[in-house]
Amino acid sequence: MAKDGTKNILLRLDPELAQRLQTVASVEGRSVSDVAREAIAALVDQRRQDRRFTRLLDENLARHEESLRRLRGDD
Amino acid sequence: MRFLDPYDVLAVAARVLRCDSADAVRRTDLDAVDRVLADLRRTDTLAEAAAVLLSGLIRARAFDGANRVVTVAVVLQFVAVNRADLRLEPVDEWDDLLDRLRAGQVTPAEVAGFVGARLMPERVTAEDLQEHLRTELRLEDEIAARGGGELWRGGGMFDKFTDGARQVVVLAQEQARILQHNFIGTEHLLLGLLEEGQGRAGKVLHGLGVTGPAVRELVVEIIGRGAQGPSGTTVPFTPRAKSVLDHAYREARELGDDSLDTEHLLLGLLRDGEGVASQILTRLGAEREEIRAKVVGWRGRRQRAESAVADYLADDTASTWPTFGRRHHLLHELNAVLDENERLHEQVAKLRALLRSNDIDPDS
Repeated sequence: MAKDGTKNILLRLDPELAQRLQTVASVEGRSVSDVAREAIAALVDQRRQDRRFTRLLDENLARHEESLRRLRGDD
Repeated sequence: MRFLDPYDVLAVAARVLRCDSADAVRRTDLDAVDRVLADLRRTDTLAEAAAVLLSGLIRARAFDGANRVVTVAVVLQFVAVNRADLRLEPVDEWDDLLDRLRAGQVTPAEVAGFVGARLMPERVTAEDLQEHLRTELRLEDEIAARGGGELWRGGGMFDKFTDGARQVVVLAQEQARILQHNFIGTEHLLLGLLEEGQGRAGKVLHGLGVTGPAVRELVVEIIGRGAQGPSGTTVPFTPRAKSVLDHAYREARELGDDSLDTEHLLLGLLRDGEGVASQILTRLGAEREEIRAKVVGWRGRRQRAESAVADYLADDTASTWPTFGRRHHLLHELNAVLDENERLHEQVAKLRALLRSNDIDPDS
């Protein structure tokens, strides 16, 4: 775990994509991991806008809400 | 089987943790998720895959702060995209399993058994099959091809299927995807019958020692795995598989049944006689006539049970139970006894054969 509470990620990228990430990171003065996380988050946002996926998830969580709530917390 | 990708998993995490996507990414061990999802693709059945997903995410503590609830939600979403649901009650049993998983005290087979016992396939409607399979059984084409003969296939063909028979078709499609085949052949229908397992056809096949893994192995030996799976949601039937559906329909009609059930599909496969499924049954030592005799025998017992229950209820006028409920209950009980009796008879027959093969007279 990194100091700021985030996790280090080990990405397997093709060389061209790695180079592009490196370029963006250099231009913006950020780490490659940071840029990669942002790109992943954008893709997650996209998934959250998928109506079918979201409807299925909402139905699932609503149906099992009570059971999920009663699951013990992490140890 | 439809697999999840890391973005699906993160989307579930974000929803459960009620945070934005960036926060979900920060709180998730992406490498662990990646590894577990790769393991998932090496599984063959939904129960096995869900068990791998559950075990992998719990052990890796992939989600910071709420690992248990996010993991279970991810597993629920995974089975849901595969048209199934999981029974989470009683929750104590899940907590116990998850505790033992964390402590490394449970085997993969135990987890798969636990999950498998709680998997509930979603009821498949005729419309689902029409929409998702688009089986190329357009009425006009069929009329043209058959000179106007069979008219049953077409828009509402799956209306005649029971829930179990529809499930078999969905599972056949799933098996085609697993084997990366671009078609549903007779071999996939056979695998579907075995995977469904609850219907009479699956029970008869299992009773004869015909199992899913054995059939799958022979399918791979005979026709191999495909180079890449079906590209879209459409997986068409082969002409021979379509003929099996025709045969099944004729079997149902000749037996005087209104609906098409799993046993009709099995009888349809037997009638075909030349497809890959038939070859496999022969290779596994399951003779067509023996299978047919078992299916027909079971139908006879069921009809006698129904008749006995109807007679009993007609004579019993004192009861205050609603007739339908009593009939259903009595039939269920009687059929269970008859099935058990049949199973025991089969066991005795096998033992007698075993004794004979060792030159021991079972009657001495």
